[in-house]
Amino acid sequence: MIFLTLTYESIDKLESLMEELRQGDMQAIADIYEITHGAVYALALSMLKNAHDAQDVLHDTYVNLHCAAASYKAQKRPMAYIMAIARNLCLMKLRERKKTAEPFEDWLDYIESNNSVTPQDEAIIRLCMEKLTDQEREIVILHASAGFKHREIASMLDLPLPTVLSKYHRALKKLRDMLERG
Amino acid sequence: MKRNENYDQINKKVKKAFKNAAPDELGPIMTDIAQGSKNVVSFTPKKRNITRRLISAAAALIICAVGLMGANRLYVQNAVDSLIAFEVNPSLEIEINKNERVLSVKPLNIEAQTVIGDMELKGSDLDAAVNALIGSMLKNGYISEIANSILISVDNDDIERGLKLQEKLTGDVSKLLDTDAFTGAVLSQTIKDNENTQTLAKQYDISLGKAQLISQMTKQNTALDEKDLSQLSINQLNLLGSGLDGVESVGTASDKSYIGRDAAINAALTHAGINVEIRYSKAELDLEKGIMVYEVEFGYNEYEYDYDIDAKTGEVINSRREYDDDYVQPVQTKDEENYIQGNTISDAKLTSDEAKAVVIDHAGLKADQVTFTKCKLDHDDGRLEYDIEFITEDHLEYEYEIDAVTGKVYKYSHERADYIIPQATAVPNSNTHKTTEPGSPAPSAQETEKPVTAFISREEALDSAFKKAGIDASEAGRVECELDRDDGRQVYEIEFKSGGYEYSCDVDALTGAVYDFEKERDD
Repeated sequence: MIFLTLTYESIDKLESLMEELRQGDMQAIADIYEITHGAVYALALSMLKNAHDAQDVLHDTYVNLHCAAASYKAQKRPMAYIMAIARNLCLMKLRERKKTAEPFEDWLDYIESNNSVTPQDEAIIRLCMEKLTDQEREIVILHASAGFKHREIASMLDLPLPTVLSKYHRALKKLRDMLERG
Repeated sequence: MKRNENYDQINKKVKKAFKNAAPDELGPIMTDIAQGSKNVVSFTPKKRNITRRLISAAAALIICAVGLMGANRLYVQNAVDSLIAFEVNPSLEIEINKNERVLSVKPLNIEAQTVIGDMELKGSDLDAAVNALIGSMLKNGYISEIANSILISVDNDDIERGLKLQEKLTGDVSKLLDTDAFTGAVLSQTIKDNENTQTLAKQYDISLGKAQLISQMTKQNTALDEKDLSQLSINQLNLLGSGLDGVESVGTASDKSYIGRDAAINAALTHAGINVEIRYSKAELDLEKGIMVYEVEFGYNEYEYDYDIDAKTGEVINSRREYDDDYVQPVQTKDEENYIQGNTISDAKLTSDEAKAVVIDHAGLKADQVTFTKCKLDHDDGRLEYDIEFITEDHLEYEYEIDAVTGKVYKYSHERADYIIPQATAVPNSNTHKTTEPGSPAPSAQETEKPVTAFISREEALDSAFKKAGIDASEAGRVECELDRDDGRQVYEIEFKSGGYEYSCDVDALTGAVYDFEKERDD
């Protein structure tokens, strides 16, 4: 499953981009965006289910990253850092929502009207959003899109490793069965 | 393996689909950054240094201008007297001067930013700041009925003053945490300058306060692992440690996010299939390979049971049953007497297939759900027994010792295979290919003294490879098969030729799964 997880090479690449960003290189943020925005957006859309909010989080993640770059310590875990920023922004949005109206879950309209999304993409996003529980979906996204190992996901979500493993397997089995059924 | 391939494909599809769905936001992001966006939370450590430098610069200037007398007082106002760290999961540091006025509040992680929000605490009273910060932690749910612990670390060069401050803060904070819904648990300590603690803090990227707490815990209980502890929250640490040296503890850490001792004991009893009275039982929270577990022990009949129960889910992680040496058997049964005398009846023993059937049945599984990795006949304490090991589809590893004559189960345990670190010592000499083949006649007791390997045989490995290639063993030529270690995995490296093609692959020596299968035209 090497190709899924971020390879050491790309971690090093991200790490050196973070350093460039710290030095004030504006281009670095664009390169970091290029490598990581898929995972950030996947997490945001799957947690928030609202296209506008997800876009907000995508935006704020990189602006925050830029501001915070100075305090980023080289830990060889740039991806975990970026995803933690995104996840925190999502949680804040969810908290805000509790005070205001019910969230408007418009992700489907957005996906359907998005020209970059192929019918196959649409099918798999629908399965993820409709058939998986929130937690299952988060685990799948963190593994599939962000390339985290189950152990890392367990510590990120404060869950026992066996729980993450069994939820992951259950989720993937669901997806596989649905895909096979067409 | 098939299943994993499918999973990989699904993962790829998920990744691609969501990436395609992402809007192009780079332009707006760059614009925002270029304009020096406001309204965005940002870390402040750099800024703090600048302010401090400015403060001392200003102080220096004033000293020159106003003369020493007046300036000295101003300097005291701005000099850092104590550093106070609050740690829950949000971690923050408060700097105060001699008069207990807040000089700065510094967030150490993203959660702490949420806690501080847009509160302007600089210049306020320490009491007021503590009140506001604890209030915000409560409001944001960082301290709750489920996780009610906070660690307060005070750093002051003057030890006596540090202790006084620690005492006062402990009192204040535990009062603030005495809510209608729950009572808080406060751990507090005074930071001691110590090289070990500093190394520890750096190594695991944790605060000095947490590092000091952890080193106290490992000092008290050497079974605990620093690395595992560093991953835990303060509440979890508080649950695991008590009566620590130099740590004041007020209140009880909440175990409400866990299933509780009784439930843990019940889970173990259910797993053991016991619903009658047991001799004794106890359950304690412990850390097992980084996971919070209840360590459950109980005695039933002549056995002693040890269980590790996942403290969150109640799942059985490890189980072990052993003869209790302290147990005095009330009456020896007829069967047992026969058995002891009948030690010579080795020809009446079970075949290895029968023995396997016994353990599968005991584990409540079916033959097609398990892969046997070991089955050998052994003499243990004068008894003739089978040592049997197998793995299930869902990665549970079972170990059994059963009586080779009666099929009685002496000992069994199971463990999740994910946890097992490959043991280098289990690797057999790679040039001999000696393996204990499941299903073959049981080797003699003498033979089993050799190091045990749980590997499949060469023949079985080759079968897997031929099957993958879709050919019969008779069609293969120039077969090479070598047991080797490949990035920590034990594999058979296999090469052969057939029908004008050259094949190569690795076969997992434990499971027979085929990796890196390659087929090339032979030229």
